[in-house]
Amino acid sequence: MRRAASILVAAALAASPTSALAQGDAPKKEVPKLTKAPKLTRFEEAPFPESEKAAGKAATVVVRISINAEGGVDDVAVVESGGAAFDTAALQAVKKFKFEPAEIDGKPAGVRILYKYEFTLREEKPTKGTLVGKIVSRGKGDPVAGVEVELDGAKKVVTDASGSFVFDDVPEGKHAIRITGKGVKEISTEETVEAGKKITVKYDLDVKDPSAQPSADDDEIEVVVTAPPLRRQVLSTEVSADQGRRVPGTQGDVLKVVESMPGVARAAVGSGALVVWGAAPQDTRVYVDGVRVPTLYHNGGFRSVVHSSLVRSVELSPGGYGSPYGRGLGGLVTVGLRPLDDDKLNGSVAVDLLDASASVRGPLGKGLQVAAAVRRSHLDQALSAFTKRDVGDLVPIPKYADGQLRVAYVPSKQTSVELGVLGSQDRIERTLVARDPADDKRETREQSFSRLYLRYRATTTDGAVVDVVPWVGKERSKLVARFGGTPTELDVAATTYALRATYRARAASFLTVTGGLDAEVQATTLRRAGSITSPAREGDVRVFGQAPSDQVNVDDWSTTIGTFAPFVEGDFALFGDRLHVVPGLRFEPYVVSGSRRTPAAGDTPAVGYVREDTAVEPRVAARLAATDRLSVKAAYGVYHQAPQPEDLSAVFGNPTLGLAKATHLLVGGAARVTDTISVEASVFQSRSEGLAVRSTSSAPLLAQALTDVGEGRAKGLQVLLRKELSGGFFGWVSYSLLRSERIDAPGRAARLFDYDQTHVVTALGSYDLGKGFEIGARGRYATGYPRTPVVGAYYDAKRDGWVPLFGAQNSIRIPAFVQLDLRVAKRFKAAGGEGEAYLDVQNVTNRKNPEELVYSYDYKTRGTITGLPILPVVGVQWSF
Amino acid sequence: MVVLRRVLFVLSVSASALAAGCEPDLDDRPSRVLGKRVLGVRTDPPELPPGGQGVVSALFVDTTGELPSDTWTSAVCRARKPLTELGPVNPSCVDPQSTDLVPAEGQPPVAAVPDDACRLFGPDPPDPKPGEPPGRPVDPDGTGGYALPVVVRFGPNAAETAVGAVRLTCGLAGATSDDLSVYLERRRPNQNPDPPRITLADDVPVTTLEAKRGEVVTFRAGWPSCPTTAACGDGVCSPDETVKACPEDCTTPKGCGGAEVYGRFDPSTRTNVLSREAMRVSWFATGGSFDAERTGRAGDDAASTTENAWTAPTGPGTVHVWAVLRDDRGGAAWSHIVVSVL
Repeated sequence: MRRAASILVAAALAASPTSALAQGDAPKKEVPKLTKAPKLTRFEEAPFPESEKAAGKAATVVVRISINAEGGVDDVAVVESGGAAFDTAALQAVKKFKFEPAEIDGKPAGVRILYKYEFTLREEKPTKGTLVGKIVSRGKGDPVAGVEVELDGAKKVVTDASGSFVFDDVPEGKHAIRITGKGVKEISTEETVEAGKKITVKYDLDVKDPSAQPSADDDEIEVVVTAPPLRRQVLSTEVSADQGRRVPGTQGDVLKVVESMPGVARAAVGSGALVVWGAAPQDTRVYVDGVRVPTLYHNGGFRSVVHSSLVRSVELSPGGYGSPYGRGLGGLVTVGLRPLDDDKLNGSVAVDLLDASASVRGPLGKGLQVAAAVRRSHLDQALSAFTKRDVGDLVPIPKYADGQLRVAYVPSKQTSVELGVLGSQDRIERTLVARDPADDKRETREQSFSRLYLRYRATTTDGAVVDVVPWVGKERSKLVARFGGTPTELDVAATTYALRATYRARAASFLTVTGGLDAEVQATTLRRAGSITSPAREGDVRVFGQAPSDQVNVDDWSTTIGTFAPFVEGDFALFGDRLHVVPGLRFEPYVVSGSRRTPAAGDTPAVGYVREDTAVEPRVAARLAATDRLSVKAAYGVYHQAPQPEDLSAVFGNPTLGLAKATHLLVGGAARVTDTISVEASVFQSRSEGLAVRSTSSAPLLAQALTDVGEGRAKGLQVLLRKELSGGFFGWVSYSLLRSERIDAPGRAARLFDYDQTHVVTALGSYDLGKGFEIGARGRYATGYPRTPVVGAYYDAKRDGWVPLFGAQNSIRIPAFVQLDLRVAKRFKAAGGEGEAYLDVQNVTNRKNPEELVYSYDYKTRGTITGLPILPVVGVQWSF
Repeated sequence: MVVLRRVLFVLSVSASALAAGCEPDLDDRPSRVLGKRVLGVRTDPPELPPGGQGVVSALFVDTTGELPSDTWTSAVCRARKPLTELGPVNPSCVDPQSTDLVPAEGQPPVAAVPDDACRLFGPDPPDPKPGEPPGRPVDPDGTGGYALPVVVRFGPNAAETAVGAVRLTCGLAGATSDDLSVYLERRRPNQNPDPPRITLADDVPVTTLEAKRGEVVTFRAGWPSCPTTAACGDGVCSPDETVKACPEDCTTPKGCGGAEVYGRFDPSTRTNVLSREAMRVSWFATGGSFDAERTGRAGDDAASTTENAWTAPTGPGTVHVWAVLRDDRGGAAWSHIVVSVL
């Protein structure tokens, strides 16, 4: 049920005495002219009469309001009745209206207007919300009246005697708020309004004491220069946490929505690899509020490493991003954590087939805020409880856990200091025991990381934003495997010290400058034992399940890679903000040192090395808003990446590997079809060089098992048709057309990249059915990954097995992947909070999607491993 | 309770669904001999120094039994394989037209180990090219050995290939002179195992057998027990025995036809260690089916037998059964029995 009110007739009858003068012989006098219509500044909502509501009645009451020269209501009379109950309600409400007085001939004057007050019964889903606020003086907490509050530079209201103000019918989403007034210091901020909800805000303002002696400063005009909010990367897709968790197939995990974004290849089931624009998974960087983390997902890709309750939004930039970020040839994923500004304790508890989690956040008092979340998987236990077979023999079932702790001190809206801890742990273990011990298959993978960070964020009085994040992190990954009689061990332990500092300010009315330092030092100790062919690398020609070579070696080494990258970026807003040109530069010296230049040889002491290589990375992006609805954009950037510490082994790699380099170029456009529907299309090209690849020589030089002569190139198109949340529905259709190739050595022909997927289509949508029910669907199509055909085989009499002979590398593909996922959720009130139960059904059609090619023992028959069948995942969450 | 039961039901459905996925549906029974196949290749002796010569044997069979040695040919491959190659040989040597093959001569065929075998396939670094640093030595296998590929061709137009190996007697890469000295002192060339002794549960060797249709027969393959500690006079020149200390065992060094103890340089600890051979038996039959394709014993398992159950075919006829015994240093031997299925 809603009440709608509107001014029916703005034309006024002059109430001044002059208007009553008789016409005729009187001296000709100009007719008074309404130079300014009255403006409603305070609306009083009339209660919907309960008796009429119960009867399902609606009505319209037209009243005549006499407004005095001060904007007050002198008299109200019903002109068109809607019924006694409605008339009474309307009259009572309208009497409390306040107006900005009308002006006649430029002077405030009393007027009468007709006003239509509608009482309607509607079932429609709200798309707007209400923003209610109160302004008080800082320190005293006294209400501040007469202050002007401006919404999005358009709507303005003035606080009343209680310091309150209200904006009704505010479209859902983020809105800019500006507060000005005599005696107060102007502030600008941003608020998010949710549909159908009343958002209450409170602002503490510095108010000058009126009794204080005026100072010279009082007469000065204060020019407030506010740095605009950070703009998204020129090509990126951002999804809010609220939408992300509703996407089918994510099981409520906000960050898993990245898999459905344009430019992202579909990862093979159980891999969790993030392949963006044809770049290798390790080439894409993931940041959580400025802190780099080694992975976005736990092993297997079932879950992300950050609890959804702490996430505000996630943004994927597949390429062409600005100079504040670097050290990666591929894409950029930035996870924004939600601000800690709760005024009461909130929390959640959730459980589903995969894991259980809990989170809590709230105030600790005196500007202190805290948030914490933990999660632990139980999929392995659930499976063993419900299946007789050891599923882990076929599908590695991950065990994982993660936790986050944030403590923030927020003395004011302009300043915050946060101490945070991020942690994640993974373990996959499987053992297939055979009657011949040499055929045993054992694999243990452990992966963990932790981050401890301190974030200082401040907005200065001139609107500049300072963000300083020093952090320290530890990473550990360990692989111990035995397959085909060949052992594999890879143990990597790294400690990282980093500092990320940015300063963003408006240097001029048309220029915003961002500058900063992005420094990182990573010390890594490594041990590797086993075959040089295990673990496999991109570009290795093999079939799934093929045992590694039986030749083995061992190496222990350490590396330190340090980079100190100052960067600067300017955002030139030209032609009335229609054109933004964003040039940037990143200057990044890399220092790479290692413990061993050559393999261990007898008593010869290890000879280490230190190298320095400087990368200069120009970046530029431009956006042109051709019309209010149409924009075009382009970006170009140079990116570098240090060699992986794993590749700097003198036995298994090459300590002399240099920097890999990539250039990204993209051109695109976006059109806003309606206020909530937009379409974006971009074509892109990336080229990379200096990639570490296997030596193709049968007699490589010492300590040169890898060489940095690989080249890569990817080009494609991505299209995103997106419907923003309105009317309870949101969704998008994304399409990526991609061709990604690699050249393994100079003069060699290009081959398809192992992760190349020509077509990737994702269509998803979620609809709020009302009454707490929500339904969503996601459909995906992806071309299969390339594979190298087996054209023959021979018998290995030493190991009693067959060895495949290969045709042209990556010249066939795994059949295409097609899958439909559904999600149904119901929200409900429960135990003083809100509960949500959901059923997320993956692969609704139970399609047997081929995930990998496999062969019979003699390679004469080829088959496929199929992915997950229909997989219903039920989950419940309770939040308060 | 009702709610809990429903939740458990959905969980069980989900878990079962997960279990049903991903399973390949290929028949993978290499033990079934359905046509011409090579089941084993060996050289005698199995380990040779550069310039040495060895007799090549191949167990070449079809459904009628073993085929004569003049139905296959053999050659040594001189091409070093790329680092990325997972198989035992450079794929170029699988090509019948390869120029990298040096045929074995005579009947029985005798293969000659190239003089530069330790540089091609062993720890000696390849000759550097002018102005370039030295090349990368070949990595040893898990037993510390290096292998010279022996290519056997068979079938119509010699189009089918099997690859065996000669273990090379070479030095070490990356060891100190002291370690090398110890290694050379303890080095004992590998010896092919004795042909596996095939028995039934009564431990009586069999060469022929009668079985009922569908009957389950448990075969046991055995090999001699080798001494695990050095003991002069046991007939085996163990790594820790020398000619001086034990002339009777080591004047003419003798190995053992079972799981031998051998010395190797452990690259992990960079020390010389003693290891014991792992033994594996590959089972083959022209009819029926085995429980396991291969059975075996790890190096730390003192047992000298391994068992495998065979289910006789449902129809009558003659079935040939082979057991190929391999040690993990590249030695091999085989035995054959004939089963009449009644």
